[in-house]
Amino acid sequence: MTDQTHQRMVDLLPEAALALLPPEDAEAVREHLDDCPACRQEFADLQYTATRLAYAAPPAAPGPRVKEALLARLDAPGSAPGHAPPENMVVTPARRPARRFLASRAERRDWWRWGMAVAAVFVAGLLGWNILLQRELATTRTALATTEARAAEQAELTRLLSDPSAAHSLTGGDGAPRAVGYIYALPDSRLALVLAYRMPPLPAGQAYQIWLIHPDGTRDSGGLFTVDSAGNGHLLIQAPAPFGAYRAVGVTAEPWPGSPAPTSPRVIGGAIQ
Amino acid sequence: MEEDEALVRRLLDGDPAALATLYDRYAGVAFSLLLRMLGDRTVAEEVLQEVFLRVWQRAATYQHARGRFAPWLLAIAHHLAIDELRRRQRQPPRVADREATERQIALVPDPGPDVAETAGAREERERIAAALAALPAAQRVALELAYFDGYSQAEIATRLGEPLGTVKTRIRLGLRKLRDLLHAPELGFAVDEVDPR
Repeated sequence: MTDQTHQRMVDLLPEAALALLPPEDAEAVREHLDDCPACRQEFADLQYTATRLAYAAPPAAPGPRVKEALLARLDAPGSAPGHAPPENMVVTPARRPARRFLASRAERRDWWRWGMAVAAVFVAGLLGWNILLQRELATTRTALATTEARAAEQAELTRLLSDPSAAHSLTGGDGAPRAVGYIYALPDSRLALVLAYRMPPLPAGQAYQIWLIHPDGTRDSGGLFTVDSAGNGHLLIQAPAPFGAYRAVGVTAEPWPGSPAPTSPRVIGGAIQ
Repeated sequence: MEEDEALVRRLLDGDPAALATLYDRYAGVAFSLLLRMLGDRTVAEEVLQEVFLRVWQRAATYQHARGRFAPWLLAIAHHLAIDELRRRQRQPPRVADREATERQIALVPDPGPDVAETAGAREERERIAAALAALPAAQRVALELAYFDGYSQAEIATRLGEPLGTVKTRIRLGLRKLRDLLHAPELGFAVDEVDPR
């Protein structure tokens, strides 16, 4: 390895760590890493740095039903733990037919070999097809589970928005007299939609947190939302309990990713019973 | 708290509770990455399931890999999101339908009451934000376009109206500088916190 080649490979390591290289360069780097412990260390270091960029994404959380759908998929065939999908098709050996009409042993052996080759190709084809079908089935199941979950949520939301008794207004406190909001919630449902308007702008690193208030004054967090430049925002809530369990709702500004209890004055709020 | 490595070993025994615990720990950061890259909650949630299904199916390959669980998981998430972005590039965009409009309502940041960001993830987020903020803006932009948007260097050059060589230099310098900043004591990081892979 010349110094020139080594230097060229060193130059390419950041791009390799970000998977930006065309295949031929990527292959050259891979080969070089096999022979050069220093570059191997540097590459691992850069790759680890690249992975940490994930933490620069704005924080968000998946819907609560995603975990259920994932765990349900673990029971699906083709989802065996620890390794790639198993080839779980049972192949029964074909019964060997009588071949007395063939003249010689050699001829019988040739036919037998030919038959085995055809059978092997056939079985391999079936296995491949089976794996493809299993994968397709698993993908369809996820899509179906996600669609069903979303459809149920949409149906529930439609019920909330079409029932006049579900709407409750939230009014602004002293700190934000112009702010106003609405919550759509029904006593038998955990789902609610909160709409907020003309909220004061949020300092960096803060979000509005919704508090669901029990009759005894204890509070559950209903989640966080941010507002646009006009101070408008909204949030679909999946509450820990059906809304019949709560008497009121409040919204406060809290440091991201939320507080266990309110730490600042209420911006908007109102009764929901 | 049970170590990630012990949980991965339980995956090999087919223990779904171990996957559920890993999900509780890392679904937040993986989903944040996927949503940033894909821009659509529904698609990001589907890919998130794929990520954890891969973890479930390929726990054995992790056993042989060196390093911690989170970088491995995030690398899987990044690869699957890039695959999704490339698949999308090959297909014409779908006509916006009513369902998609209704879905907009779910697009606001919604941490939900179920998945709380762990203290470790928050610290890591603050470190990366500080290190990125310390990079020259041109290097940061090039890195973000490459990592989050999955653009090739030629595509980045076109988007920014810069020569390809300039973009390459920015990415090379940017990633190395980011690595050095994440090691640097003035940002409050102990060197031994960095994965010793």
